[in-house]
Amino acid sequence: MFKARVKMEVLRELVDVVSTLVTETKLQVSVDGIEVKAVDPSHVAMLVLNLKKTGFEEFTGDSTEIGIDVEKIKDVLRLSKPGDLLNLAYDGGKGKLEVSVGKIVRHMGVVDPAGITDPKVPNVNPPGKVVLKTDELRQGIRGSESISDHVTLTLDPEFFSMHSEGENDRLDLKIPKSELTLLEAKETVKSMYPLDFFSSMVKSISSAEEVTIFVGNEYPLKLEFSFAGGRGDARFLLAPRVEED
Amino acid sequence: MKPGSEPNGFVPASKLRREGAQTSPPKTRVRRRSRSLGSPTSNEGAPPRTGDRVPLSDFPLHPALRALLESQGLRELYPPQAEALPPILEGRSVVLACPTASGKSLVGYVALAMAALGGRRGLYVVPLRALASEKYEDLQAFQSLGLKVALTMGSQDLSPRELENVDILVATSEKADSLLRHRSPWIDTLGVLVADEIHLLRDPDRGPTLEVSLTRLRRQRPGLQIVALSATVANSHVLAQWLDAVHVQSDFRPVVLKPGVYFDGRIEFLDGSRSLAPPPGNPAERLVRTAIEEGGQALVFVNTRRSSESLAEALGPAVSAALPPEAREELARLAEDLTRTSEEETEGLRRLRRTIPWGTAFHNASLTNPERSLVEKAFRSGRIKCVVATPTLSAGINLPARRVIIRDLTRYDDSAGLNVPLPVLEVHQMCGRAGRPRYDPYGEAVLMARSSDEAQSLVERYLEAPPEPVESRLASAAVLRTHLLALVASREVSDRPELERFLGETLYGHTFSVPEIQHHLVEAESFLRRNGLLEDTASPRLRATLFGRLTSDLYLDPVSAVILRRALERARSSPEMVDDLSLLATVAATPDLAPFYLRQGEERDLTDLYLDRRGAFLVQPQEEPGELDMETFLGTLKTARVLEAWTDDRQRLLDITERHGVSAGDLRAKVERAEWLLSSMAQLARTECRPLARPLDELAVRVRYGVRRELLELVELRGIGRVRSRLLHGAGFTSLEKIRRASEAELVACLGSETLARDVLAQVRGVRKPPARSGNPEERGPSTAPPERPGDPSPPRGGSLRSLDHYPSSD
Repeated sequence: MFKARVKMEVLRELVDVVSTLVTETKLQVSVDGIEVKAVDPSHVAMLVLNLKKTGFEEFTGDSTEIGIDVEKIKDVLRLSKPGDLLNLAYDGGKGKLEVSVGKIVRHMGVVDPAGITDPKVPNVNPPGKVVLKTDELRQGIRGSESISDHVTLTLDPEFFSMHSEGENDRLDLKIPKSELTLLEAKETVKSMYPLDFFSSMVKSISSAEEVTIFVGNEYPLKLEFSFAGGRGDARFLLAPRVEED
Repeated sequence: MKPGSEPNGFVPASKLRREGAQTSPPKTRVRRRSRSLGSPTSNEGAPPRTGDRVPLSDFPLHPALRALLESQGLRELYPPQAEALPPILEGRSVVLACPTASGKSLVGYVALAMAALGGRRGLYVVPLRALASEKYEDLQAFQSLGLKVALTMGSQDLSPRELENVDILVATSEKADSLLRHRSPWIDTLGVLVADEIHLLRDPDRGPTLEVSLTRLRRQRPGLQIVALSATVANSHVLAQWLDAVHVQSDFRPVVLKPGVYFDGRIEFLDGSRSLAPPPGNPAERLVRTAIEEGGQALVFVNTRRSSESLAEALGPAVSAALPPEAREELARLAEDLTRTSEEETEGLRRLRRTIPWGTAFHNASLTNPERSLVEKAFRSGRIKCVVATPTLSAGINLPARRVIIRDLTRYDDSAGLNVPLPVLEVHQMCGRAGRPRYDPYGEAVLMARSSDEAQSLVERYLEAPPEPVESRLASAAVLRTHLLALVASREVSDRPELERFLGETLYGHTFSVPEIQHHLVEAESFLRRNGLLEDTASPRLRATLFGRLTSDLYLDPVSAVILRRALERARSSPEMVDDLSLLATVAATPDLAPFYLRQGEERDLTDLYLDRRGAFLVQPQEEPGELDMETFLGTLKTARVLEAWTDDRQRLLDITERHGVSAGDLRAKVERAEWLLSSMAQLARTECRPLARPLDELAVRVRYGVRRELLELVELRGIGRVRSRLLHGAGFTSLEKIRRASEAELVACLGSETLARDVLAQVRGVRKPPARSGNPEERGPSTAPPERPGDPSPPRGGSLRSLDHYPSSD
């Protein structure tokens, strides 16, 4: 059973984040809140997202799995405006998720959760860590996108940098340690990542002012941020490009 | 497609028909000869004997496996297969000794599939690289049963993660040994081991590794089911006792084999029949020509490379005369196509271009691997009618012919300094290549005698005598020091009594008593302690030092490691003075790289070189422990010089081989090992002499590709070797960045090929990833890191996305 009332902005960010990877997903409801785990079909990117009970205006739930079509939620969100509250209700019996905003109620067919893969989240702990402003990261990505399909992130004890290279052009963004919220790197580490995923991940972040990035050498990227005023948190993993296996 | 197999054929089935020529020494004890030699009354054109086949449905096989085998046309088993399978299906170990033509491999395949379908992992160990890929291709048919089959050999290492889901693994003995040394967890769930060509335990080079690996596997997996496949040898029952296995022996052979001796214009077959080889021409020519005129092919064994080349040329006109004009035209086209097998001209290609239009070719170690496989392929497809080979061909390559002619029955023995008779087992393996299953109604194996007395003695020595027994080759200090170190480094044994217990479980221990090798053990142990590979304490405990563990992990001979380390110590005071030639001479001085022989007159020149630069060399003649005598030392200098010339891409390969009197095949073999030794030395340098680590890694890459430093960036591209990278460089494309900016037309003009130019452009633009280049020697263990790319000329381009599945999950 699941019944909740949530701010439009919170649900929109959640849906934006999830839809960077998948079009259907499983909401794992528990008494404490909801969790989403998703992996893109090529197993290049993964997401683990939690929204605590306190991130909702009202919340009651017990252990339930709901398979949802992300596009349908987006449809309803399009009908709402900032500041609106949405009501969500699901009781396993009818197989419908009821979403209402204002005077509109949509009974949404759900997806059989059994058909949605439960990603095995790899246990990756990249050695370098940096906390930086989301805007700066976004800017670096916008720049890189115009010239290449991938971007190299470097963490050095003294700086964080992004580098991408096209046929004739290169782009570098370098931020010294003093201008970063936090930088922890014992030695220089760097990896190259596919820009398409990385970009849509970062663009899906709307409320967090800062993000935390973990990087290793030819190692998956971990990107963490919070939303819903710190009551929700999300963690992306992104596969590295490696020279050879 | 694999030569010799059916176009979509699952090989176990076709194998039954084609295996006729692999290794099938005739069973020759006179009284029982009729079975292996074919019925005495059989005459030419008689159908191959089919024997008493047993329907497949008589055996309790897994239904999916049976369906697969039947879908490949296999409905019946040969008698030896039928005898070996029941104990295997009961889970017992089996030693199966019979001619390979009787389908031994199939028995191993079935054992592996049955085990894997029951959830037990299987390992197929082969002593030769050429066989490993053949078996792997065969076993891939089991993928359709949902089984994962993988291969590890040479530079093809598998990461623990890649191994994780493998049900059936094909490995060379060295790779199996390496898995054990690295304590691979994959071994922990091993259920069945197939040991192929187990008679090679008697091979002084390959035997000990196979013997130690078998012993270790049995210790680590008590109750391991072993299926050992052997050629017919005198004492296969001893092998069965050693392995606690059921002994199945048979001399069944599906294609009739007629062994005989040629003398004075006549072949006398053992079955009493005779055949006349009409004049004119020399004896070999007459034997080859009649075989071809009767519609077959001929395979001639001689004992030197030079004879193989000169005989192939001498036979040419006679063979050509026996061919129809269309065949000759096809051969002429084949000879023209030869150019495409390599980027660079070689002496071997030049000669093959001369002989192939006649329909003859030679096969020896002077040829590079692609050249050899080209000859094999053209012979199998029937285009080349006659191949003259050195005995290297008798092991490992499946190249059957209607008539096998053994011209030379002796071989030069280096240690004895004279020609010695070939072992009976080897001659039987050559004979076993006679008769192409499905094509030839029979096979003829003809030994050539030069006198009637010799004819008689050849019959007695080779055709009527049993092959030698298989004996352990473990009893030598050189062998023991390598394996002792490996056993201690991987913590298989930790003191003398444990070591002796281990040796007691080897074939050696089974047939002899351990005290008999005590003195070798003492010598090996003292060498390892004295040189800092084992902790040198008075304690009886055996513990490897860091250096010892590294040596074992790098798969180096301990003597090589000691030589490399001492050279590095010597370099420490002024590493900047060390040049390429000194580094190359160092690796050439190790027992892991046999040096080139000196030619007449070279000694003086090389001695001068030594005297001029005496102080610069990191190895010196007459030193413990390699005890390089002056002649051997000059050989290492020569090897270093040849390798140095090879790394100068401006020198043509043909000029290098001609100037130094070496063959392209030999050079490639040295290159492969030198690259491995240089990168191993780089690993040692990280603790012994850090400043040399990078130069060594870089030199290793240069040796691999045969280029100067400035071409390192370019040879990373697929299809670009030492010649084309030089062309590109000469045309101003000195970096990948410059190629990236080039137009297709410019590259076509430079490389002379549109396809190649397009591919290169695609690679530099990151569309396609450049492939991993391989070419490392067999012995590289999984922990040996590939040499770093020197210079890091540009940020990584392209590469591939490594899926997140690659990383272990927390749940």
